[in-house]
Amino acid sequence: MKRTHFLLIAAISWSPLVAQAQDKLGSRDGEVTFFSTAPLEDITAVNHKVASVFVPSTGAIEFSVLIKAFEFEKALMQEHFNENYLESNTFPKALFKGRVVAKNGDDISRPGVHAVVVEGDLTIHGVSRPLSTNATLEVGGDGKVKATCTFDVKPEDHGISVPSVVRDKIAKTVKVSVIIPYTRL
Amino acid sequence: MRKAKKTLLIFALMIAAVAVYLGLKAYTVKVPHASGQQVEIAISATDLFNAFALDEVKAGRKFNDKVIEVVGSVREVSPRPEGRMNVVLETGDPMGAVVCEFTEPDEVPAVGSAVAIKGFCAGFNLDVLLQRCAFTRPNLDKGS
Repeated sequence: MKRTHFLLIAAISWSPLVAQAQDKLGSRDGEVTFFSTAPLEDITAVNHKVASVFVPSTGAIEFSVLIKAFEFEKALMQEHFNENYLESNTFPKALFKGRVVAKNGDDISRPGVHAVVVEGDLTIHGVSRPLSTNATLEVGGDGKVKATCTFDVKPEDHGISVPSVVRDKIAKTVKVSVIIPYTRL
Repeated sequence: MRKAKKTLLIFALMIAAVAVYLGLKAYTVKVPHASGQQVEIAISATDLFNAFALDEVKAGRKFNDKVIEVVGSVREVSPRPEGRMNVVLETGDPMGAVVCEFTEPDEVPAVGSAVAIKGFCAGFNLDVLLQRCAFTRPNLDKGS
């Protein structure tokens, strides 16, 4: 079994990070969208199958994104994304592992809308880079939590090279939006 | 001489127009849906899941990007945004499933029913994911 898969299952099922079993929140249906504006055409893709675990009591958070699950409108874009840029056969997943910190000392396990900062390491294309971004947690009275955030990623920071022929036609920064609906495990 | 040049210019413009047309046609092709595709590998949902759980890299080389037909029992049907639907198939492992994403569902199978579904295999992220799916046999229990 691949290490990343094993680690995520371990985190979801019996992670020592988890102080109390009832604190564990999980999702297998998170959504990641990326958007890149370019002179020729805007490029957008959506992934509806993001797996994540979040432990409000410690703030620990992880998620795993299957690269091939990004859906484009055009077949050629999807092919280039997987074969030329993300090399999804070699690097099938993007991973994030980090921590959620309340901005103003909120207890993020209490119902309400909380402004938070997410800090950690984002691994794309096999290259890890630190990431710190603002995010929002909507904690419902039923124990459900919705996490949303938006951040920018520079492909070159993750070793993704863009051929010189199309370099000017592709934005240097890609906007990434994340929406993850968590339920108690 | 002048006429020859004119003919050559018209010919070159025609070639350029055809090249632009073919280029645009290739560029605007939509991502294919499984409904119009031939099945490349047929397998049970349990065997497909076990193949990925045992060796994700090896299974990825065998199944990813191919049109897979899976046969299995429906564990769950989940409506998704934008009219989509996920049909989750039993694998014998409570921690994992085969998830079949339908972008334009025309049938909603009953939980517990046996179905055959084809879709493009995208890999493994706790579950095995098939995308842009279509039913090959929506309800095997009824022999349809």
